[in-house]
Amino acid sequence: MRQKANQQTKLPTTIAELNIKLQQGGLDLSEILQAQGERVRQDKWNAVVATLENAATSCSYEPPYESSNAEGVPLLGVGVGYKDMFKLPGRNPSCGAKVAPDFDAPVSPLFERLQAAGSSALASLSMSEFAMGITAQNPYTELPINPLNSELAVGGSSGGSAVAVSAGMCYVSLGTDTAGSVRVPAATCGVLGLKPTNGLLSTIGCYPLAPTLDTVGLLGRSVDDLATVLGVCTGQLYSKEGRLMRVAASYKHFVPSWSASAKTRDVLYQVANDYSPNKTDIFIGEINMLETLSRNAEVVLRAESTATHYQRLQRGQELSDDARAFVLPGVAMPNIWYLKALQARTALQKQFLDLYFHDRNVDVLLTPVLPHGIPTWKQVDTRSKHFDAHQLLSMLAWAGFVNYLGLPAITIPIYKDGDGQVISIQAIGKPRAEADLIIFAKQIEEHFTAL
Amino acid sequence: VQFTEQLLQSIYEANAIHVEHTEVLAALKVLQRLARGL
Repeated sequence: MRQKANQQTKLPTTIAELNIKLQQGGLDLSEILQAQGERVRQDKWNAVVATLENAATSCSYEPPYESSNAEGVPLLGVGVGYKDMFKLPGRNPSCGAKVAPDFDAPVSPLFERLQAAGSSALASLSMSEFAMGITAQNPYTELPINPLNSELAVGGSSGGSAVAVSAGMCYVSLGTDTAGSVRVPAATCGVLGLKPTNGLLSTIGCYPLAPTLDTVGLLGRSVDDLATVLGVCTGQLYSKEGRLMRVAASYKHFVPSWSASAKTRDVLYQVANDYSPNKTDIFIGEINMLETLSRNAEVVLRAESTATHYQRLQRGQELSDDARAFVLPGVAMPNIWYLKALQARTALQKQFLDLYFHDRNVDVLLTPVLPHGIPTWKQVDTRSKHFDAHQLLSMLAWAGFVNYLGLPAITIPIYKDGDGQVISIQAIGKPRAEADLIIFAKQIEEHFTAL
Repeated sequence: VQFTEQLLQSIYEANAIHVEHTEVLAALKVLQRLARGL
């Protein structure tokens, strides 16, 4: 009987709609929660590692509400999924690993804030092994299925977080982004993926990969939902309305084949042309610093991820071949490379901001996320006979330098065709300018169908 | 730094990390690529 009721429950599309319906008494809170829980339990997409009914109910944080009155409880009834990298009450993260780490850390404060705002923790979600992968492929679990089209790849490392949101299992999910691991999976699954300014969201209770690059990010289906959840996490209010943002756009990569395809370029052009008050000087050609920034980002990523997993390398047999290949170069990398990349970071950030934001009076810099659209699993599954390493690496091409610079960025799905192929763009903002990105994404959301 | 298979092998041995020859070659490729960007 209970299952029948759940299957019949139509969930409101957005958090705002859910909130209004709960306030008006048009929905029953327990039925809403049961319906979301059922969707997670019936996961057809290989996105769920563990359901969190115990975590949600056994935690010591008393929710500040007693009934289904949503007033003042912005996330009442909102199901949230967590990448399986977050320490939650009653659950140590497995991190997609063969041997789960012994993670002595407090529960993520973001979980506490979201629970206190009325949300319901639904599931720990699948991911690449220790977040070391730009697809969601994991040697110990099934490939996640892309809800847009099962032939298409799911980006990583927060693959389960993107799939769960795209499939409607939860309103929002949390992921981590060290070199694109929120923005890239979001782009493959046709959802929004926000990587805030480094340090804006606490990484406490979140297993590290490369601590100076690691960023907690949010995935969702609507800009309003992301703004609400970000507001709860930061204690700030994010307006969704504002002036038109001045934009610049780049589609040329220093590796020519990682420049945007004609279709992606057209999408960038249309967005830039339609949603910027400046109609000239929009396209800036190649970002001249991109090669240096990308190299430095990779040096920092490899050095810090090797430090994180050094003892696992020594113990042997705890990491898959792919994970070992990722961290082994860092063991032999000269320390001076890492130190120089760290020392140059502040100056390069200033230079980048001056060149592409301040000197041009620009608010938002647009780039591709996936230069050729979403690849198929056949192209990027490393076990496939059609595996194409160049295609796999192209998924990283436009992401890592943003973490090195510590800037906020958001993946916005723009164009969707009949086969589920979605073209997304990346909007990069100035430090702590998440509000600009939200306003910009909201203006676009109202006019494009992919969201 | 002039990276060679022998240098990498000795670094892994000094760090008590067992590696296969194919892993040394793959790491060598990554380091040589990053060194070109200096």
